[in-house]
Amino acid sequence: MESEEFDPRFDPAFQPGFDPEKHRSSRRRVFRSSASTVGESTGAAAPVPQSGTVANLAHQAASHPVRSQATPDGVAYESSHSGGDGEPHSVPLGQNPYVRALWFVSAGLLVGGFLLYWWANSDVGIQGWEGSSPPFIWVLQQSSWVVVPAMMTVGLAGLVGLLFLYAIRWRPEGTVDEEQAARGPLTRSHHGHGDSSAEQLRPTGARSEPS
Amino acid sequence: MTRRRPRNPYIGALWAVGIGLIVLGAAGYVWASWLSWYPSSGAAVPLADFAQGAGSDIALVGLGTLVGLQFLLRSLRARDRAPATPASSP
Repeated sequence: MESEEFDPRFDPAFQPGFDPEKHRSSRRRVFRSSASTVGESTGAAAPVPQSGTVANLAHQAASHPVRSQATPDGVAYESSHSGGDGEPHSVPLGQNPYVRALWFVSAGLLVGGFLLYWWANSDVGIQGWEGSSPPFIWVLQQSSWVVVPAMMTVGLAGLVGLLFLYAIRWRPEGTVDEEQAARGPLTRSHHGHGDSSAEQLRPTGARSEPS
Repeated sequence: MTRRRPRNPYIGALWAVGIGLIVLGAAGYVWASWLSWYPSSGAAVPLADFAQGAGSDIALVGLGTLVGLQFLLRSLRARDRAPATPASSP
């Protein structure tokens, strides 16, 4: 009943009428349910030491959504595939199958177009034909004059676009770690793994209660 | 003491590719035009035809690279100057 007095989207500690002694239990219950919607279960009644407040953690989790899974005990942990900060940027470009396909297609268009043009135009002597239908090499030569420049242009543009992609995703060495350290540990390891950062997130004396 | 931000190596590569493509395309077109003035035969003829046909496209990609680079640099500068995400909220 007490939880209905507060907006469930926000920490009751920062809403009018909050009494720490009176609403301690409601704060734990209400705020944990709202935090779980962003994949971060807190189960905390007091501000988390070293890492800011619980509201801070929830705010960071909302602004930097992590790929997390909720466990039956209410503790979320980050997927091992999402990297350090949970952003897609953490995945190296070389491991992206679409980037690999782009490299393959772009290089193929470039090299293939040049080879096609060279092969089709190696027989320079063809200026016409005798008979009812033109020879295949003549058709190929005429087609290559139109198709190959377009193929090579697209291939070149693809390679340049990949360079742009790498330039946008490039970060100086150590920048990601510094940003992550500035934001504070957002992720929580699964229970029992003995992760020190996970222990920092867990408030002393408070544990997730099954809902 | 301010620490100098490391250079993005891909920006340098994009500058080189953009300028290189413009020069290559233009030089190929000029070479092909010059070659076509004199009657010639052999392997240079299809290459000259190719340079004359694709030279403008190659130069166009190089020009587009340089233009895109300006947008990218402006975007990266804006990202560097943007304030960091607030550490706490009320």
